[in-house]
Parts: sequence; structure tokens; C-alpha cells
Amino acid sequence: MIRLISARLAVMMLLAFTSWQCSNPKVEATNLSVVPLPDTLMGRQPLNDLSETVKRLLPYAKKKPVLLAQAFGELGNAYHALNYMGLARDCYSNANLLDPQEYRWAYYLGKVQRSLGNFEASDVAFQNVLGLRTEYVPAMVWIAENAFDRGLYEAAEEQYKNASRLDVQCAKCLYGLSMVASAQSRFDSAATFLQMALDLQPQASQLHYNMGLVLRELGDMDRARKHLALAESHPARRVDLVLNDPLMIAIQAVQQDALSLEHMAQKALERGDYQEAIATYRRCLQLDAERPDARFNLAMALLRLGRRELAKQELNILLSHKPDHAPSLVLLGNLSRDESQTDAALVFFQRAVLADPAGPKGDLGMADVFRYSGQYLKALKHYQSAAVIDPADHHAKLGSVISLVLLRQYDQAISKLDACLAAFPGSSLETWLTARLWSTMVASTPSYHLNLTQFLAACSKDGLTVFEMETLAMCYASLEQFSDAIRWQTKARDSAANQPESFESAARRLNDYQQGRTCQEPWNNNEFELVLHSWTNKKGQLN
Amino acid sequence: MEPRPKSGPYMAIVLAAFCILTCRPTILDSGMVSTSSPEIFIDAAADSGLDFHHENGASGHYYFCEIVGSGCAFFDFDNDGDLDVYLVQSGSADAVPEQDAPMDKLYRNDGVLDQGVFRLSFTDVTASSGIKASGYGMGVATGDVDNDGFTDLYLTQFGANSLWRNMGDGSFQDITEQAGVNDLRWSTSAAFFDYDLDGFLDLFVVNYTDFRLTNNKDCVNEGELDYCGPLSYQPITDSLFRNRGDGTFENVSGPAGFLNSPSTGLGVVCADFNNDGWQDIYVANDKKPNHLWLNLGDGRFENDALFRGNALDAQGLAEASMGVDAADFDNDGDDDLFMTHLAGETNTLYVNDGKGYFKDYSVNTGLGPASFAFTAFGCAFLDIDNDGWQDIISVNGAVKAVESLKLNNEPFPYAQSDQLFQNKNSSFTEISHKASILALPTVSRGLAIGDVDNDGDADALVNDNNGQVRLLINQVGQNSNWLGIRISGSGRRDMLGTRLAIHRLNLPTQWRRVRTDASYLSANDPRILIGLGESPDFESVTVFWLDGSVEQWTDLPANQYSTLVKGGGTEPSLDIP
Repeated sequence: MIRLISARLAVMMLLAFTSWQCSNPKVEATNLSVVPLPDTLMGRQPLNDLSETVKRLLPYAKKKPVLLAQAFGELGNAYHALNYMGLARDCYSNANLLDPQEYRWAYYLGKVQRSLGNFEASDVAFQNVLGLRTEYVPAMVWIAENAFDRGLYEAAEEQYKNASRLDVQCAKCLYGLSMVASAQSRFDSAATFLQMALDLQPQASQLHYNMGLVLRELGDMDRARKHLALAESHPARRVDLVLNDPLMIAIQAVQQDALSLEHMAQKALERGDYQEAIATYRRCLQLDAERPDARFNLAMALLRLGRRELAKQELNILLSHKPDHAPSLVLLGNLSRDESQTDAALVFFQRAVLADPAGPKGDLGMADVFRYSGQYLKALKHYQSAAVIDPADHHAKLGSVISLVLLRQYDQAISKLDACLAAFPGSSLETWLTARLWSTMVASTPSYHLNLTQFLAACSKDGLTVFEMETLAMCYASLEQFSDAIRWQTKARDSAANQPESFESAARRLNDYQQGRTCQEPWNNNEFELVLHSWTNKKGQLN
Repeated sequence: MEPRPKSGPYMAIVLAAFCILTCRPTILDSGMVSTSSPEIFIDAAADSGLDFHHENGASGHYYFCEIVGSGCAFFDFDNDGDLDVYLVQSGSADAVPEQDAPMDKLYRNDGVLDQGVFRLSFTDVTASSGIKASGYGMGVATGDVDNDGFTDLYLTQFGANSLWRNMGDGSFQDITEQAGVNDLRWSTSAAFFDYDLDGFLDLFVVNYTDFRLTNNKDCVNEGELDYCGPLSYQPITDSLFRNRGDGTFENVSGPAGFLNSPSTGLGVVCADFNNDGWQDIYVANDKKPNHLWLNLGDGRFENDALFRGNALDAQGLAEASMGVDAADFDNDGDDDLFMTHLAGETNTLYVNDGKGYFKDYSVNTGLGPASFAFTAFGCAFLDIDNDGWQDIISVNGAVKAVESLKLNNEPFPYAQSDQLFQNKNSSFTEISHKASILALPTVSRGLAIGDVDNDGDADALVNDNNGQVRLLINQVGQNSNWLGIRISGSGRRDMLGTRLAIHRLNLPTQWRRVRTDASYLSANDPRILIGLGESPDFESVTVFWLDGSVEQWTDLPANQYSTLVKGGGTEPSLDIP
């Protein structure tokens, strides 16, 4: 009996050992790919911790392969979330090598290989997933996608069908079947699959787009155009076809950390999607309220949408955490100046100078305030201070020139202007024109007329932007042709009112020329009216 | 009992033995053994005197324009029968131009025929040409704007564009202001074409974004400062200039309908896509839907790309389109479209059904997956082996730092290899391995195609961002038969837009279009090359002039160039499809 038990025990131990051998091949640390932590990511959590865990467990590759696999897998997730696909691939490869029984690592490896364009390697990984979980629909879908992308339509169709049988709610499977049918010119069939997918996900842009193309092929032009009109191509506005992909939630969770959210918000801000940027910055600040850049950019995004008070609130919160945050002080100074709160503006700019004595923006802000309030000498002094701090600063140079012109020190203005133009030979149309116009204005009237004519010729009369209209108005005003100035300013105002987006764009460009690079707040709506009013007065005086 | 060898080394020995016994050099689809295959291209730039080095002026500010340029051109400026070279320089975006700042260069082809071989030799004639293009250069377009028989140049810039009139004596004159074709915005590609069929070349200028140094943004890629993408800036509109025929142009962008569609244009190609007799315009936009501007024939254009099926990819997404070319790759009588895209997207082939409706056949034709890992710019259809099927070349280079290069601390981590695809019966196979010069990683941008050594095959000129120019001489095409044709008007002007059909017995008719446009920021040889394969025989060449008239030539010699002048042919005797 004892012998029998011993024999059974021996068999069981052998089986267990064999099983361990299969699931844990003898992996030496030297067989694993080296996955460096790039210098740029040093010190970033949780990457640092994950990387340290891997290092700590690496000597135990043989003894604790599953644990090390887990560590590599989690590090891979972090790289994956940050879009370091090469490093993610190496981590997942290691994890998969260490623990081939864990379908997650194979799945992530398949996804990353696909994103790197390695379709065969991706297939192998997904097939490993199916070897472990035979009915895992997302793996089937990606195998199908890999096949489709290589023109292997029959293989793709088979996988889509299998996946569709297992998950009748899988709109992506139906879409895949429609794509195969369409590629094989079976347009009736394609339309049927697309309609089934649309019944499941009626807003998905690519379903509408392909339905439009299929209906066009079928000669149903009216319906085709209707579907195409619903196919939004802009990434920020389109509704994507959704695949139920539970493992990717882990990646998305990693992406939810504050830094990732800040990056995502930054991207949204850069592409002009302010609504998305605001929402994402707020999520970011919920996780970490003391991220000055995130809060400052949130304020910027709010300003872009005209939410000045909310923006000011955010800037004040920021200053309560970080009283010497110079960009916030400058921005609040600009906002105060626009609201004609000259004294408040000057206080903010003075604080900015103290907070960042090496930065020119505080001086520039003060200079602008003085210039707009007619104190040209003080303005000139601060522009010159800014120019000393940053000799290449466009705003400082141009501001000095304008102040000199206003002080009627024309010779000095022209001399500075020449230097300014030499420093910015490739500067924009607006800057060039402004500079030329100022220079010719102080030179002689005939050449000014010539420039104006050239400007008119350079502009398309049917397509003037708000800014160009304003520039024209400014030209006429400085020629004291106020009727024309008022006409163009009115046009600019009306055009801006009818085209909010181009108004904002024009405002930004106008700010650019006025403030060099400190393009930080939208144009004040009242400016149009103020300018019109002043010119109307001047016209009256002339008459 | 002796220990069993571990499975690893044991398997390795078995595999090694198996390999020694069975492994042979790869047999390629041509049936030739790879080790003896001739290199398709050799780089002749340095040996022939092309010493141009593109400078992007990388300032550390990651100014958007630094990663975009620049272009190049093959054109015969001195009408001596061989192609000269124009190379666009960028330089520094924000520095004061100095006396010795790098500038665009014009190289005269002084090659000579020596014992049946064309010995390439280029001479830098920039100074004597009078061209002083010292701004931040982007692209070049070529065309004879005044019908004097000499090809003129239009240069696009991140800044002011310029039109240079070829005076016919080796010099050029800046006629931008008097011609009225300036555009101070950021222009990229441009194309000369005759949209109103009045016999004078009009000009279409593609503009990119409202990026300026003063609104430069800090964009982050994987935690580090990197170049921004097009969506970081506002899109802007393209421009159409109508040639009045008196040396001046009229900006007709408004009435023609272009001012309501701002976008992010990089590439352009003009052709009659819907076969209605009017030249249309296709613009490749970066991360925005592409535009197919159908010429309505009354001076107006209408963008119908979405409905025509070439605005978006098969998923309905706007891709980052860079370069574009149009040609009849499937020999069915219409112009199809190929365009290059960002890594993570595929390059795209839109197939025309003959009526101007397109389908994305990137996957079906084998072009999709191979391009997935590359960011491609310049591209062209060219019959590399003169077998009668137009192949494809794309030159690549990233716009965001490549992860692996960055980890290796490469100072300019954007280089990628280029790609070549062979067309056999409308199906493509990558054959980059047959041109090892393409494997060298570079940040390629501009690409021009032309027969620079007049040996009957298509060579390539590549302008690499922050790199040395490359002149890729085709080593295989001349081994097949070919037909070389220049299509000329009475004033020796290249008749851009004219179509040709080359009829052959029991073989598909080949279709070609006279053009200099397409690719990316670049201008191509306007001459037509037709690969005839093993037999030099063909039945006739039918020429479809833009004015609707049709002529035929039947007695052209193979394996040399002929000039077909309007009015010199006969009435077509064959059925015209």
C-alpha cells in the first residue's frame, strides 16, 4: 500500500514537474531581452518602481518565472500606455517567454506587434492566446484584422465569422465581414453586414463611411451621400467602432494616471480641441491638484473658449499653490489690462518681473500697459529692459519701434526697425506688413500709398481674413482716410461676428503681432467697437 | 548512463547541419539567384558633381518647418536634351541670412556620351543663373509659363514664393511681383497645368498651415520636445493663379471655389480624373480629408473627394497624406492615385473606375502592410524594369523621433529606409532588397523622376532632409526595350496634361500623361517613357491633346527619344477606347 502510494506520489510529482517544465521553460536571465529604462523616463512613477521590481526579480528567473513575468508584463503595460511600443514588445516577449500559460502577455504582445507592423509575429501571439483560451473573441478579431490587412480575405472572413458566432453583439466582426465582402465586390452582402453593424452601433463613423461607398457602388447615390455626410473624419469628433476588449482596459487604466492625462490634454489643446482639453485637465487635476502646468493650460483652454472668469479662478488657485508662477502672473496681467484695470495689471506684471527676473514678459506687459495709456516714454523704457533680457525678443523690438514712432523719434525708430526686420527675415505677412507700414508712414506719403496698393494687390479681395481687413483699416486710418478705415473695420467686425472661428484666429494673429509670442488670450470683443468709435470721432474732427 | 545532451544545443546542431545541407541562396520572383542580381540603383550624386547638402537649420526649438522640406527637380533648363537638376535648400528658419548661407542650387548636366555610355557630370551654375533663393525653401514646380520654349521655375517657401523666368541664355529672372504669383504663407507643393484650356500654363499652389515662428508651439512626443503635427496649427487655403497669357497671373482662388476649404496640403497632382476633358486637381492633405477638385469647366472647381472615395482611408479616417502621384498602373485607361502616409497608416492606392470614382485597393494590391512601419514622402509611379507595368518608389523618413534611434542617442533620430514595389499585372511586391542603396536610413523628402542619363529608364533624385542629395541611377531598365517621347507644342513647350496611348499587339495599351507635377515638393521629367519589355514592336502612339484633338504616330523608333509636335501626326486609324 505504502509502495502504491509512493508510486502514485512519484507519478504525481513527475506530472507536476513535467507541467512546471512546460509552463516554465528553463529561462535564464541572459535569454531575456534587455529592456532599458530610457533616460527621459527616469524618475517617472510608476515606471521607476516597475523597472526596479524587474531588476530585483531578474536573478530569480528560474525560480520565480511567473513572478518575473508579471513584473515584465506590468512594465510592458506602462510602456504600452506611454506608446513606447518597442520597449513594450520586449517586456511582453519576456513575460510570454517566462510564463507561456498566461494569455494576457501573449495578447498584449500580439497587439504591440500589430501596431509595429509585424503581422506574422502578431498572428503567432494571438494564436497562442487562442491556444490558451479557445473562445477569446478579441484575439480572433485581431487575427482577422491581420489577415485582412494582408489581403488574406478568406482567412479573415473565417475568423470574423467565428468571432461573430461567439459574440452576436460584435459590431466590429460584422464590419469586418462587410469589408471582406466589399473587397470581393459583393456589395449587396457588404450592405447587409453594415446595416447589421449599424443596428448595434448606429453612430460609428466608419460604418457610415463604408455604407456610403457600398451604396455608391450599388447605384443608390442619395442614400450614399446621406451616409457619407454622417461619416465624421475628424479624430476628435468621430465616433469609433467599439470592440469589447477587456485586456486593453488595463492599458487605459495606466493611461489614466495624472501625467498621462496631462499629456492627453496637452495634445487636445494643441489640436484646438479645447472642450476635450478642459475635461482631461480637470481629470488630471483631480488626481494631482498641484500640477502647475496642467492648471495653467486648463486656464488657457478656458480662455480659448471665452471663459475668462473660470480661467482667472484657475490661475488664482495656481498662484495660491505657487505664488511666483510667472506665466500666470503675466496672463492675469494681460487679462486685467484688457479689462482696463490698469493698476491691477501693473501689479501683476511687477510681480512677474520679481518672480522671473530673467524673463522679459513682465517688462513687456508693463510696457504694453504704458503704451496703451499713452505713456510712451515709460513704455519705451520697459521695452528696452525686455530687449536687454532677451535681445532676440520680437515683441520687445517691435514695441520699442512703435513707442519711438509714437514719441516721434522717427530716425531711431527706422534704425531699430531695420534691425528688427533683419532679425526676422522670414516673419509673417502681418509682421512684415506692419513693419513696412510703420516705416513708410514715417518716411513719406507717396511710398505709403504705394505700399497700401501693394498690400491690396497681395490680398485676395474676395477672401480677406478679419485680420487683413483690420490691417487695411489701420492703413487707411493712418492715412487719415477715416471713411475707408471705418468701412473696413466694420467689415472686419461683421465678418468676425459671422465667423467665430476665423475671428478667434484673426484675434490670435493680431495678438501675435502686438505681443510677439505672448499669444495668450483671445481678443477683446470690445476692441472693434473702441477702434471704430475713435476713428469716427477723428473723422468728425476732420470734417 | 550518460547524460543526454540538453535540447537547446542539440537542436542547434541539428538545425545547423540541416541548414548546411539544405540552405541555398534565396530564389527571387524573377527566377534569378539573389547573389547575382544586379543592383537596381547606384547612387551617382557624388561622382557626378552633385555636392548639395540639405540643411534644415534645426534650432532646438523644433520649428515645424524644419522637418518638412525640401524638394528637387529634374528639368532641361538649357534645352540641350538632357536633364538638369534643381535642389531646394532650407537653411535656418530664424537666423539672419548671412552672405554664405546655404541656398538653392542649379546644376547643369554636362554629361557626355562616351562609347555608348552617358558619363554624368554636373556643374553648379547657380551663380550664373542669377537665381538667389535664400529663404526657407520648400518646393519647386516647373513649366513654361510664357510659351517661349524654356522651362521656368516656381519656388515655394516657408515665406515668400517666387517665379523665375528662364531667359533662354542660361539665366533666370525673378518675375514674381510683375506676374502676381506671390504667396507669403507657408506653401509646399505647386503644379503647373492648363485648367482653362487656353494654351497657357496656370499655377496651383498648395499651402500647409498657419505656423509661423511667432506662434511656435512646444509639442511633446513620448515625454520629450519634438516636432508638432499639422493639427497643432490652423489649416489654410490653397491658391489658383490663372495665366493671362501676357506675363501676368490672376489670383482666381475665390471665384474658383478654393477659399472655403482650408486644409493642410502637402502634395498635388493634376489630371483629368473623371475623363470629362478638363484637368482636375487632387491635393494630399496632412491629417485632413484629401481634396479632389473637379474642374467644372466654367472656371469653378468642386471638391467631391468624399463621394468619389479618395478623401479618406478604408476606415473612413483622414490620413496624414504627404506625397501623391497619379498614373494608370493597371493599364485600363484612367489615372489611379498613390499616396504616402505616416507610420502606423498604410500608403494608399486608390483605383479609378474610369469615371472618377475610386476605391482603396491598398490591401488588394499588396501595397498596404509593407508600408505600415514607414513615414513616406516623395513617391512616384515609374516602370523601373521597362516591362510595361508601372512600379512604385516611395522615399521615407519619420516626422516624430523614432523610438529605437532615440534610445541609441542618434542626434537626428528620424531616418528610415526607402521602398520599391514591383508591379506585375496590377499586383505589387516589395523589391527594396534588390536596391540596397534604398536600405540606407535617411530622412527622405523630395523625389523627382527622370531619365537623367538618357538611357531609356527612370532614374530618381532624392533630397534628404538634413542630408546629402542622392541621384539613383537605374541599372536595369535599359536592358529592356523602350520608347521615349517628348510631347511638344509649336513653341517647343511641353504640353502638360496631354495623354498618350501606346498600342501594342496582344498586349495591354499603355497610357501616359505628360506632367511635371506630383511626388512631394518636387518636379519631374516631362518626357514620357514607355517600357516595351522584350520586344521593341508597337503598333502606334495616339496623342490626346488638351484641346480635344487626337493624332496618331506609327513610325517611331524604339529605344530612343522622339519629339511629337502638335500637328505632326495623322488622323487616328485605330479605334480609340
